[in-house]
Amino acid sequence: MFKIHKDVKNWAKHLLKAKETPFDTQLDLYYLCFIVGIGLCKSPNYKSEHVVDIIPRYTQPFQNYREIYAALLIVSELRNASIEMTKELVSKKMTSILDTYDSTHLSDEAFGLMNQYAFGGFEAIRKELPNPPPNPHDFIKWYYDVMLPKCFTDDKW
Amino acid sequence: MNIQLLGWKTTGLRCPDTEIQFNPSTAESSISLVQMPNGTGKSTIIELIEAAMTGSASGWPPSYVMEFINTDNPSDFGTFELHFNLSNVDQKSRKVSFQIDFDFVVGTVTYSTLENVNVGLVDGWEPPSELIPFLKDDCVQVFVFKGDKVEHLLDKNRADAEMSIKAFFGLSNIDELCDHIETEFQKVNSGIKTEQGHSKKENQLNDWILHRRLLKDREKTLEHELKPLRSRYDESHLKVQKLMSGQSVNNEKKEKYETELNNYKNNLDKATRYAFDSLRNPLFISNKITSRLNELHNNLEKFKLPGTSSVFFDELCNADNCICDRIMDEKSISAIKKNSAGFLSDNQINIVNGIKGDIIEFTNLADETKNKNIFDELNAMIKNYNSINNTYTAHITKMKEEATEKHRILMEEYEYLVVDIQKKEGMLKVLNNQEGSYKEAKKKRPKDCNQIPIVDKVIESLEEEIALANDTLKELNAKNKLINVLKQSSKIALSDLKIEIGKKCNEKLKAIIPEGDWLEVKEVDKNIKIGYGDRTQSRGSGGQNVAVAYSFATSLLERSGAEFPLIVDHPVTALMDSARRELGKKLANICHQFIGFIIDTEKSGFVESLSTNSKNIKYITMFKKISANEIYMSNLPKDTSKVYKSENGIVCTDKDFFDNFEDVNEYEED
Repeated sequence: MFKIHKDVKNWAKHLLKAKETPFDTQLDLYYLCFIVGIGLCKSPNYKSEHVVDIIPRYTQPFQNYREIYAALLIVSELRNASIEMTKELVSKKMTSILDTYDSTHLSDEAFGLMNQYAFGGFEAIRKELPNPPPNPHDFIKWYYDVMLPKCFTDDKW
Repeated sequence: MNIQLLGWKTTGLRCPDTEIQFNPSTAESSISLVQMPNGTGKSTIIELIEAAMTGSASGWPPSYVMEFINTDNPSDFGTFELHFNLSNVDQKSRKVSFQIDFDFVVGTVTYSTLENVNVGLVDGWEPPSELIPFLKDDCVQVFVFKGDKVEHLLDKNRADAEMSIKAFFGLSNIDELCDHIETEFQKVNSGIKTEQGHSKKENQLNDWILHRRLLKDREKTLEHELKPLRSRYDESHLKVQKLMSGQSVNNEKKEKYETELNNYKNNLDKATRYAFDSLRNPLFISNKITSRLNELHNNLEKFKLPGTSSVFFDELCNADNCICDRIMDEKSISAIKKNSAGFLSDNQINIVNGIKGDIIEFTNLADETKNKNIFDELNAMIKNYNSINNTYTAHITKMKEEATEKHRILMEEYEYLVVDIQKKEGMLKVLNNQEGSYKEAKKKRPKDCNQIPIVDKVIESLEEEIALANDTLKELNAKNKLINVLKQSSKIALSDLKIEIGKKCNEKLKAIIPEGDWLEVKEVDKNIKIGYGDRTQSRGSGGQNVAVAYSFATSLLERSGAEFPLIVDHPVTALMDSARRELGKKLANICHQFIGFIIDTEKSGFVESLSTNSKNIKYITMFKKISANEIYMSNLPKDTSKVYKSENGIVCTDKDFFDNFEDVNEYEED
């Protein structure tokens, strides 16, 4: 189950309700938070009581990239552990992350990790932008121009 | 019964102090045209005529009363008198007058009525008894034509035509009678009392009845509040329209900006979605991601991760011998179980292969330059959109600044009225909503249900249960039968009246509309439906709509037996000259007395045709005695018998003066 920071819905209410918004569901915002979380770090403040359920699977637009997201999770976990990719470690990680019975290919452990990244990503976004602009186009522009450059920097990646 | 308007007199109000007299004739149709420049008080006078005839001014709040004060020369008091002649078949004709006295110190109005010259003026609004049924708001609005009345009668989203018929023939009283019967029946039979000893069911019924009363009171209050609001809205809407048409150049620009803005916004929305879609591929986002994922891909190629089905290992552990023929002892089994955890299953291997494939595929697709271009384009579109938006906003600000303070108040009032009316209509809709299950509602508390039809059904159901228990089923059925008969009779009467009035309308239409104009009233329903043959149309030309509306009004008046004059605000403003000429030819055939409030631009085509085709016409011009109107005063006829002057107003009944009069002032609200 994808779970999102409980404050996201209120923080992004204008973005979600805007006419012709590209954010069809909260999963869209979850993804943006996840990328930032991956680019920075997991949140040390993560607590299960601070998140709410969104959806147990990817929506159609994300379905095409599910393998990539799983791979991204694996490399992030290995990066966080600061360990080199060895055959055993990669195999072990694959086994723990991948669930062949789930349409997302994600195990419960993987969901938990993704949710932590998304949680941390939202906290970072909110810190930079306590009040998002009401127009989705202004938000996307800010995300690309301001937020993403802070992620995946040399010191972190 | 024949009613002829003799005239009116105003003193100390926001329109000039004037006295207007008509000379109606019983022998022939009389037509009076009252010409006033904008801002003289035409709408005020019409509103006062309505108020005098309905007694509605008693319900005006002080703030509304104060709007009638003469702001140029305020006085503490003001008066409006309305005089008319009432003739019954079996009685001599007699003069009846209503007087409204304004007290601007406390913000109240009082009425006086002259109904019998021997008795003199009496306090209160006390019309002759034979007139009372026809002096309700919905009746008076039939013959006092304001603003959008013509459109309202044809508007399929309104029920003006039906409401007028119901009002004129007392059918709206039948609904009240049915309510009254219900209430009285409850009092006698079902126990309004709440003393101990009465059954739980009776108490339950009592609660529902009390709740119904509450809802009906709420409904009445809303309807009562809506009437003046709608009236004010119609006036306000007209004023706003006049204001907007006066700002037509600015409006054209505004519309142009709005169209451009919408186009830009549509393109911007598409670009935003495209940009967001591009971010779904992480390889688009950062070359660090691309690099790491490719590293993973290469390692996965290198490592050749072991995979096999877990079933294989399970079967191996249960076998006697390993595949290498060694005996499977405890140590071997334990080692297999431990080490097999590092093996991926076949399905997992498939996913891994999928991962490797996607990394290659999406890496090939990912192009940081392309992504940058997508966002550069988005930025450019945002800039353009903001630029257009700023221009638009500046234009709107400029429009608003150019509007005077009075216009700003007008717009604010208009917007407030729109919101208030929508809110109240919404609440009425909820109260009258029939959807839902009364059985479900019955299980809950009365206050959880705000729908009168559902509450009625619950009450009916409880009554029946109690009646069965109390053996009063017979009385209950009799009461229900009576109410059904009344409602059915009302429905049948309404239907018959609609058909009859529709036929009368068509007879009159034939006399009014030009030859070769194919138009008829197809049906009088909630609104008037027009067309010809198989064709139905929602509206006709300006002239056709006016002809239909006048035919309807006069048909209704004739059928009811109460012939009131037609008092019309802007009778021909929406008509082209040709239609005005046609109406001018036929106006004398429409009703026994016609009073039209016009402005100078309405004369073209209309007055000449009228003069040629009618004999008894009075031409009245009225204007304020202010410096801006000096030019009119210098053109007044020398014959002073045709000129009436007060301290702040002038009335002239000279035809040449009427014909030559042109409004030289800029638009000012009435």
